[in-house]
Amino acid sequence: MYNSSKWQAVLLISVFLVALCAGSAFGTAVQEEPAMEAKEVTLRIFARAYTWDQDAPWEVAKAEIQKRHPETKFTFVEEGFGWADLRAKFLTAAAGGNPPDVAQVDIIWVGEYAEGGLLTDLTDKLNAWAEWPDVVDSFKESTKWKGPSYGTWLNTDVRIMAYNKKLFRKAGLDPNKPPEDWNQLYDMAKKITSAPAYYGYGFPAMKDEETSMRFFAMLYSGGGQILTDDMKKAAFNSDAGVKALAFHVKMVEDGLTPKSIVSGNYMDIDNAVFQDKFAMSYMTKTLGLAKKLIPDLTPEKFKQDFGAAPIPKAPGGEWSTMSGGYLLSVPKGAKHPDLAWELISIGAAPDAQFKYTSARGYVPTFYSLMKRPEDYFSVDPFFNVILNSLPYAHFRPGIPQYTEISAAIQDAIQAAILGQLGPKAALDAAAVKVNQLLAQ
Amino acid sequence: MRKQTRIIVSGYLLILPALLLIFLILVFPLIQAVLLSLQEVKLASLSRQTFVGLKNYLKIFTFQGPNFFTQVLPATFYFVAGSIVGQLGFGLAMALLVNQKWVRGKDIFRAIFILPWVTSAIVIAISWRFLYEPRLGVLNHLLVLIGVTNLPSWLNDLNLVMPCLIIANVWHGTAFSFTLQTAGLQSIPYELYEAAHVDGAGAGQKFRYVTLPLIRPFLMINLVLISMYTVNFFDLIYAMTNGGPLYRTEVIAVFLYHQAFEYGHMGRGAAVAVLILIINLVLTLAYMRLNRERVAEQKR
Repeated sequence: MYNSSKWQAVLLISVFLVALCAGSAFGTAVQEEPAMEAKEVTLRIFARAYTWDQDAPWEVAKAEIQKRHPETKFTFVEEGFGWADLRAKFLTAAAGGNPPDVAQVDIIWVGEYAEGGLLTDLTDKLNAWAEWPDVVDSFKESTKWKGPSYGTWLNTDVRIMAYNKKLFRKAGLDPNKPPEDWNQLYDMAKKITSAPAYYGYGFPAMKDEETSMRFFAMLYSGGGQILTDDMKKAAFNSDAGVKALAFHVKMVEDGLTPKSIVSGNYMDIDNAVFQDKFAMSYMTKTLGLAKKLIPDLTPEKFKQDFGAAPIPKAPGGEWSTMSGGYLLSVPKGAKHPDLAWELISIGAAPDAQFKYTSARGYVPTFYSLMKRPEDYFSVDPFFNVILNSLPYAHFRPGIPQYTEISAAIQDAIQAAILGQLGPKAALDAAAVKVNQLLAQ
Repeated sequence: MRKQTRIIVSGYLLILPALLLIFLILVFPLIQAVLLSLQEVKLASLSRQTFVGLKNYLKIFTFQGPNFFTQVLPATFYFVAGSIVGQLGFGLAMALLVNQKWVRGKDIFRAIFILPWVTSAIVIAISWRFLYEPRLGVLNHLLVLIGVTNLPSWLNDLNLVMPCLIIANVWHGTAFSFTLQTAGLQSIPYELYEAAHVDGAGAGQKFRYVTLPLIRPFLMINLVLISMYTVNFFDLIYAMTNGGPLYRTEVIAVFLYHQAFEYGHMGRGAAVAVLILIINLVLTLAYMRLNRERVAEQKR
């Protein structure tokens, strides 16, 4: 009797386990049925967190796709990330066989993703897209990796300097004469600073891509570059790089920038310009950001209290800025690739791109939008600063090692700012690391 | 004989489902991680794997940003030791206090003490980051109010950043120790204290000769669990400092995340995971041995 109960228990457990395995197998089979025919569709989108802040691109695209497919009930799973997390999350999801339907892809990641077979070749869809001929040719080219195109542009951007005219006035400076070079920047920052209430200059030095981007703008201004032309060696530790970093160290040492720039979020520094805490900082968006912080801010009021200017150049150097930007792509393995492309083709079309780029101070990638700058001026009184900076824009190297190269440079900036190493020694140490990475 | 064999076989069959589950959930991923640590594999191209032997381990040990032996391990042990001492010490102190007969509203105190433990580490990280913020934070505001002029920059200060993290983690984790130690204290019969009192023992002697020996098993379990938990701890540190500044808080779990997910070196990340497992095993074995020796000493 005792034995028979035991055998029954074993039998029951075995049946339970078999049922469990079979259940999950059938469950998977049901999920893999073609979803295009289903009336309910869930589209997952991985994007930068700030892209959800305004109607375009996503709300516009979501409303339009729902209008085009009234028979389908769409659910949108919206996930927003910071720069590094967007890449990590996408790669992890793709590796786990559960990629989103739409992914925002930094232009420098395209090669890595395409090499890994993580993106859908959209060449045919792009060629058939009515808006594709309108995309600026050079931007069209940069959507490609070894032939095929992997997405279309959401936007590009350039970094400019935003400044606080109220703090300029308080220091007795002419609010319509922002600094043009680093010497003027230093002098003005010194006159403005009244620490700890407010500082003359803000610059990110935390572990963030924006730290590298803003440093690169100053590096190029002094005639430097990130890597050698053949991309086999570090070049940022040149005299130009050392001067750019030494300038920032001096700003911190002289109390014109607080040491707290080594941690936190770079957006706090950008925001601080519009919160009267920093007089000057570099950023990609001015009015768009200020509007988020100051309720009912009009372009006129913005022009009165704040200004935008090109990034000051190195003494005797060239104007320079850094440009980036994002594609919208369909990952390989997306559950609804056709609908995903349709969503992208709406969200990245000229109308939506105008709304998105003008709201955030970004740069369009369509000929038709570039031909109507007056539309941008009506939204952003300083859009000409962005347009004028475009010819001086530089791009980061789109190589798989870039993320680690950028991290090494951020380490060097932190080490110098925190006084652990001199600017030259810090950049040289980073160059050794970068050369190791490039040699692999 | 046949009956005995049947009993043995049926015994094994009964534990077979559990063994299968343990194999699937624990052993199989562990073997996978060890095998992955011997491969060169990128997160962006997981299907392309090349066997490289111990090269990933060598890279970890020779890497300079950060150096494993001079930056990652010291940061890890500093964080783990500080957190354990704080959590165990405060947990025990609070448990002793709440366990006193004269304390009223014990349930309310327990509910309050448990709150930080059930709060998400990310929420805690954001709250503490705000407290430590040098320009707008509460701590520096209070320091200004009492007339301090040379304000600390907390998370930006290379020497202060780790103590700041440990304080936040102790605040978060003490409730777990408090709960375990409370269970331990409640398992001690009150008569023992009465007997000790009759024998003329003071409060200190009661603690040393009655409480401590009887809650030792609870302390040991607590020590093992919080050691493993703290070695593996990631989210609070990632959200508060992301391992910075200058790798001062790059503990091994954050190092793993950066290698595997930020830089996409999955093989190297798996190697770090194996190293974490070894650290956990060594710590657990050391604690168990220490406990065995203490128990043997007491028996003598």
